Amino acid sequence: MHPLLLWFHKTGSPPEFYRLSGKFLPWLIALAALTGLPGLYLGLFETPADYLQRESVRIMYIHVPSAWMSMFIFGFMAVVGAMALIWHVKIAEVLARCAAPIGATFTAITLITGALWGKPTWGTYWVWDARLTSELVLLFLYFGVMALHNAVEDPRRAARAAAILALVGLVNLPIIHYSVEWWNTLHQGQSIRLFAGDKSSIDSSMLTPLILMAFATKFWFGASLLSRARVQVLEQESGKEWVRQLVRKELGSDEPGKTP
Amino acid sequence: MNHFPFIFGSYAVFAVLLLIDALSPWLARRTLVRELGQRLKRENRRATQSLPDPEPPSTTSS
Repeated sequence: MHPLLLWFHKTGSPPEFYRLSGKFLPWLIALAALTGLPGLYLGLFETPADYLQRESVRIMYIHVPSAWMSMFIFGFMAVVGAMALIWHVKIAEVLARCAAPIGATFTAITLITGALWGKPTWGTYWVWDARLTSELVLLFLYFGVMALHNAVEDPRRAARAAAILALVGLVNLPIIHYSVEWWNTLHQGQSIRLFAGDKSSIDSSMLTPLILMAFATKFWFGASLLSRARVQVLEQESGKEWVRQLVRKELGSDEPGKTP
Repeated sequence: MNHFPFIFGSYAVFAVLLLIDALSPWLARRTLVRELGQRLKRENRRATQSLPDPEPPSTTSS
């Protein structure tokens, strides 16, 4: 077996994953707070108002990172879903399942904050614009994946079906990203180009809080994913001795003849 | 147009949805651990009840 796959299988074993994720979780929460709080402060109080959007530009500091996350999480879900399909890695199934509600949350934030930004800027909460519509389709895809996980009784079959839907849904990501270039949309074009900094049209004073919030949402996703996956692992392994020992230890009950 | 209600509304939605996202696994874990604890207790009780009595009480009266 390939060493990387072997490592993945080893760290992906439920007790080992539970132990490791418990170590990473507080760090991810701390990093999310350390990047998010300054990002929010700068975005709300320090950055100047935009000459065109005026004060409503402050919505961008949560709207744009959430939109990036909505696409990033779907991509992540498809990748781990593919790993579950190809290599039957149990923990990949768990991660794909747990990523869906977080992705749906960020997509909902994107759509709602976008609508609240649209009213003072465009004069309307909603238009059937290519960017907005494709983002709404992404939300429905997340709902579809979540529904599949809950509708199929056998978790492994559910994971396979949801992984296929996530892989098919991947086609929506380039549509969302390039919609502002392919169609004549009301939504503005890209202001930030990660791989062509000179083409970015955003001022550096606005870029700092935006980047901080982008990191904060990534760390948030990591923390939320691990905490959800830990619950899922406990539920799936509830009959195993290591879970019973953990529960006994947490509830402080002792059973004769069992050692922790 | 006053932009404040839109900014406040956006940040409130952001905070509330992320709060729900943070609380839901915490609540789910608490419920699950409690259920598993109850299951363990039931199993313990059943195991204790099925054990034979060490000294059966005497039924003779004379």
